[in-house]
Amino acid sequence: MKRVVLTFAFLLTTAAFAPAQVAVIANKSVPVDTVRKSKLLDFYTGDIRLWGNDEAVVVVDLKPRSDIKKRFYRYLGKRSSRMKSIWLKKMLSGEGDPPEALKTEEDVLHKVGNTQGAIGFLSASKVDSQQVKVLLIIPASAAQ
Amino acid sequence: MNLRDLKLGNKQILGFAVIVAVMAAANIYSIKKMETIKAEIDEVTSNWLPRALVISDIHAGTSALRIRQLQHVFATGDTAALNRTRAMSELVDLINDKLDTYERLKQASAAQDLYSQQEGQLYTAVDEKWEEYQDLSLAFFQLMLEGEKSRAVALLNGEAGLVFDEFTRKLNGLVNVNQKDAFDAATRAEATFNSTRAVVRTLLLVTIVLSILIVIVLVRLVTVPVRTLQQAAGNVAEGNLAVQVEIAGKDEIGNLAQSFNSMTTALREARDNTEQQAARLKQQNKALARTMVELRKSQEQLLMKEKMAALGQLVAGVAHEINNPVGTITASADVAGRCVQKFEDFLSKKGSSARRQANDESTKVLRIMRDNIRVILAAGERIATIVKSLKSFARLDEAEYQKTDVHDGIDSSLTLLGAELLTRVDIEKDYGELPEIFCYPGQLNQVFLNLLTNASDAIEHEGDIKIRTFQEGDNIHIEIADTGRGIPEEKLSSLFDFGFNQGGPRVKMSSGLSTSYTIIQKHDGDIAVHSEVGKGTTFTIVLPVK
Repeated sequence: MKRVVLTFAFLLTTAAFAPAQVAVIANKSVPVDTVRKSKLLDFYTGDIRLWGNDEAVVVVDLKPRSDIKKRFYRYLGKRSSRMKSIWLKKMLSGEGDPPEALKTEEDVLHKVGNTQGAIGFLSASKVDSQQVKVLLIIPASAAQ
Repeated sequence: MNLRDLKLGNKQILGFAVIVAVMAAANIYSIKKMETIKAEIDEVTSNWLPRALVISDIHAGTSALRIRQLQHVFATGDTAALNRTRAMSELVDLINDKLDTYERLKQASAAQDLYSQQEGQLYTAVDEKWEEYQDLSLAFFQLMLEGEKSRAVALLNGEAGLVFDEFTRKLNGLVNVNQKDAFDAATRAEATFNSTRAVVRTLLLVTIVLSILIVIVLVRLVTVPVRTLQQAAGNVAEGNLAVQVEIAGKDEIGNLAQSFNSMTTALREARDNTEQQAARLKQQNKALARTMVELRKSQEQLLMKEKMAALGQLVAGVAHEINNPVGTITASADVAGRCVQKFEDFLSKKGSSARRQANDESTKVLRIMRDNIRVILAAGERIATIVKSLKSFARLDEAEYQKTDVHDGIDSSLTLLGAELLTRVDIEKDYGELPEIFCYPGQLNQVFLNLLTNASDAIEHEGDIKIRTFQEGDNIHIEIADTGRGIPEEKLSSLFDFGFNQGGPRVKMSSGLSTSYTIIQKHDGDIAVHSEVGKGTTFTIVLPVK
């Protein structure tokens, strides 16, 4: 119910404001309903690889140089190129692979919805709460 | 407020204040400008220069990374590969550090509005290319891990190479923009420096010129009037008192000039006054000299009259003195004549009784005649004595200046004063042993007569005159003291002045004491008086023995 209300309000605000809000989504199997910024960054840098229930964290990235992507990383305090460096270093030191980067937001929605422990981001307007659960809405203003 | 009216010190202060103000203005201006230049140089050193260095580091880092990647393809052995991957990891860190630094610098510069839009756009492009290259690198390493070495090499040389070239080009563009902006800032700084230098030079020149002008003005304000004053003072020193100094202004020199003018005026007036007074004095002197001549003439006449009067008195006295014996002689001659008549009568008588009687008578007549003769002789002697005294007094028959016994003079004077004196005044003589002294006896006698006459005049009825003489050292002293009425103290000081008049019943010898004083002075002696009213007067004459 809460989720429905959130999504509803979310859709309303999306319609009301021009710059798209960014929604952080996760597979419904993840044991959390919300996520803090620092935790989110830890997921994306690969510093945290497991959820609380020892399920592997599957990070999903967006490939194109889009406004949503830029805003998401800016919210994390890292530019996307810097995230690439972090992943490059992880890879060179053998600590892990970079997240899979998908070409479209629909692909992201689909991938997160169908992968256990997956987490990703996309425009709030494109969220389908039937497939995924929303962990965080990044307000348009906070992303600036 | 006129500049001339300022005090010298204030003039100097004003002059130096102007100089200091101009210099201070120049300094403040140059300091301000230096601050601007400093800011412009700081712009270069703290904005473009660090960014340029960082960009250069990024360039070096990325090039090194790409070389390592190329080498990585041909890596053999796990250890070498591990070393290279570690090195590449460090390079990525380094590049990220530099990018962070650039971001920081960019934000700092943007805050100062010193970050151009062009550079921002170029940096975004660089950042995008860097991300793209990193994506490709990730893909490259993925392929390498998967063992797809040929595809990895193709990717690195193909698509990644192109992206890297693009990245390098963008980076070079960034360097160029940065250099251009830095060069512009440096050019601005240089321009500011040049303009400031020109202004400061001008101000320096102005300051120097102004200083010189002020010094000249000050010197003129001081030295020119001083020189004028000096010349004027020189003129005054040469005796030209008509000098006036024309110096306006109310400063010290102006005041000095006014004082100087007042001084010369005062000097001129004083000199004129002195000259007039000298002329007047000369006239007065001439008049005085004439008066003196007249006075001396009248004094001489007066003295002459005095002498004549004294002589007359003396003659009267002497006539009186002589008259007595002459009367005696005349009377005796008459008696003698009658005695002779008697004898003729005796001789004509006849008869013895008559003769006898005549004999007795003639004896009587002879006795009378004998007495008569004695009287006549005495009278004659008396006359002879008087004549002798007169002679002695006047010393008519002797040389004027000679050795004399003063006692003789005193005695002659006493004799000449005669019976009139002796009847009512007791003369007491107390003569000491005196040597004869060289003097004008006639004149000294005049003094004695004067003093004795004065003494007898001072004694109204009866009294004493005491004459005392003694020698003391080289001087002889003659005191003539009377018991007369005395002289009041207020008259003592003018006693020996010419024309003194004692007053009283007999007015005489008005010039006597003055004459006496003159005579004693002539003998290098001294005459003093001591008197008490009602008790008497003592005159003391002191004469040198010589």
